[in-house]
Amino acid sequence: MADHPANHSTTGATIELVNLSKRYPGSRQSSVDSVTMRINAGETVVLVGPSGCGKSTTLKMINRLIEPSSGAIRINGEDVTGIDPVKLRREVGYAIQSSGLFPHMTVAQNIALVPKMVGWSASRVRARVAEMLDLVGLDPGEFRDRYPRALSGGQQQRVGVARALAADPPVLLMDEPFGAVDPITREHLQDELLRLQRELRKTIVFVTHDFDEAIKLGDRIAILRERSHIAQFDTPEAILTSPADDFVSGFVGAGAALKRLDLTRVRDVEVTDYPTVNMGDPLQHVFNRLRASSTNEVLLLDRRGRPFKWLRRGDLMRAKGSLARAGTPVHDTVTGDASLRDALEAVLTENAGRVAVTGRHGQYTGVVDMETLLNSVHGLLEADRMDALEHQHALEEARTGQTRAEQEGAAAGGEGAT
Amino acid sequence: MPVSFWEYVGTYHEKLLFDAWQHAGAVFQCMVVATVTGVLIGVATYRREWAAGLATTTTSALLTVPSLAMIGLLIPVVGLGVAPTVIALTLYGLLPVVRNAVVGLRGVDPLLVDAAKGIGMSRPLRLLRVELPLAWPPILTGIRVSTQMLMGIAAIAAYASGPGLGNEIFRGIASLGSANALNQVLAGALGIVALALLFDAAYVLLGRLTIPRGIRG
Repeated sequence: MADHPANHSTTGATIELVNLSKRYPGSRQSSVDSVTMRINAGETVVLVGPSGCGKSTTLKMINRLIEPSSGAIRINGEDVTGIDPVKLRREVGYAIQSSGLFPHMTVAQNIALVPKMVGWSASRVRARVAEMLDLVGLDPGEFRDRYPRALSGGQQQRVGVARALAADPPVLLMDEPFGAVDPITREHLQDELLRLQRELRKTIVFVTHDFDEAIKLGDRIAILRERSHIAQFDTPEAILTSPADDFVSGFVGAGAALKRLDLTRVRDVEVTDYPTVNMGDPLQHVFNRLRASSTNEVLLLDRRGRPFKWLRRGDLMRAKGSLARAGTPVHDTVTGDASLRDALEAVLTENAGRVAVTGRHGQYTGVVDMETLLNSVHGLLEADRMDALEHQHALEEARTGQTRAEQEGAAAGGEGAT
Repeated sequence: MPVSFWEYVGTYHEKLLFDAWQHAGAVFQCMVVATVTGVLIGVATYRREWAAGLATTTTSALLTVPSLAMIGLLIPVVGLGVAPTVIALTLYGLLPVVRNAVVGLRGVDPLLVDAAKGIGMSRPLRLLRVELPLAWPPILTGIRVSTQMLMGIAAIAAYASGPGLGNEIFRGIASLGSANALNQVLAGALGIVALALLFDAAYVLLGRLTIPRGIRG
């Protein structure tokens, strides 16, 4: 993916966190304890974890809104812990919850802030404002001179992202940027961010407490437990299919239902009976079967009773008396032992919403279709959601005491942070 | 034979206008000094709880000193005339400005300050472009309140031979029973009320001009 950089824009930089720690004065424990993490250029990494786990503190250390107590941050190999924080922040985009737009400035003035600070000419700034509004899907003519309060929450958030990207920084830090908008707008903003990221290939570090958001947006996800200890840092797929420990599976929560696809077997779900015909059957019989069935195709079995071809009405018309050359060959079958994930995979690749299930020696036993899968997954989802809720409650309770202690420590240090 | 109020005003309008001009000038100039000083004190103290508390307590303590006593206390130190007037007016003008500056600056959404920091605004830039503009509406209110108050207090300045409409009032009080005594007090008092209204109208206009549409109530 990094081999498609947009022609005129700066693509991502690597970020390395090396033994990064933050300890507020007066607090016994550090809020962030020795995080080491390497984020590749052009990658979206999501830091996700329960509230108070230090994910936001970790993020804010990258642009030094919070000064690390020890450790190093390297952006593109350069240690930024020693450079002027104001200069650093102008090269690192920053978008926050509920947009953080300045209400006394127009949309254009907000977006123009960083380019002006880094000394762009007025005409270049004006062009850039229009370009950025376009990029986030807002019409420059309509929105340029509006004040933030005349925008919807979703529009404000878009402008917030436009402002963060205005000076074309290689790195974008996003601190629960979509936390304060309604779920539908959030979906749209997430899709939009994915689209943007495909075009821009920035290095994005994204903080959220919403695991589904993490799954959707992250190339890789770092699941953090208290004090920003990394419980697992891997691709969404890997986390879903093999969570490192109970903490991760607990946090994955509702998403574990996807993982359940792996643990549930085809034989555990209801297999539909499909109309079948055999190789030797006369064409008229095949027609009758088709007419009698509620489906628009029948499954042709070979002489040993194994799924051979899918026959549709149109196929029969073109068959001209012989079944040998008619229909679509069966590409893929699953056995009763296959996981639902495999079945889903097969259903998707078969491209017609169903896959044949075979028993011993490959004999046809039935068909799994999309509807069956959806229904059974739905049931699993419900069950898992209940489990996850209970699990999260337990986790949260266990953490409340500690979080409170940390917050008191933070307040004593004169800087609020989560 | 007492003349009517309007005849009095007609006869002495030049002198009255001069006093009113002097009065307005004194209040205006002292307000400028009080605003600049007050905002600076606010900026210097709002980040620290104790400093902000100290600033507001000190200025409100000053305000509890009766203005006549304050001028009386200043005369032995700075003499008669303009000096004690200006000093007293500026001191009294400080409190509402300092208090509203502190409240306004502390009231700026910390999320916005965080955002300003996060996009790389230096501290002076943050103050000038974000915090002060957002705190400006309450500060302007403070300035308005201060100005109204100073209008009245400036009248007392005549006691120390200061400028302004207070001279009319004091002259009237000193010659109570004489033909024009009441007219003099009335002219002074009404003049001050008229000035106060004019100033207030000016502040409303100033607010329209200086408070961006995005944060206007």
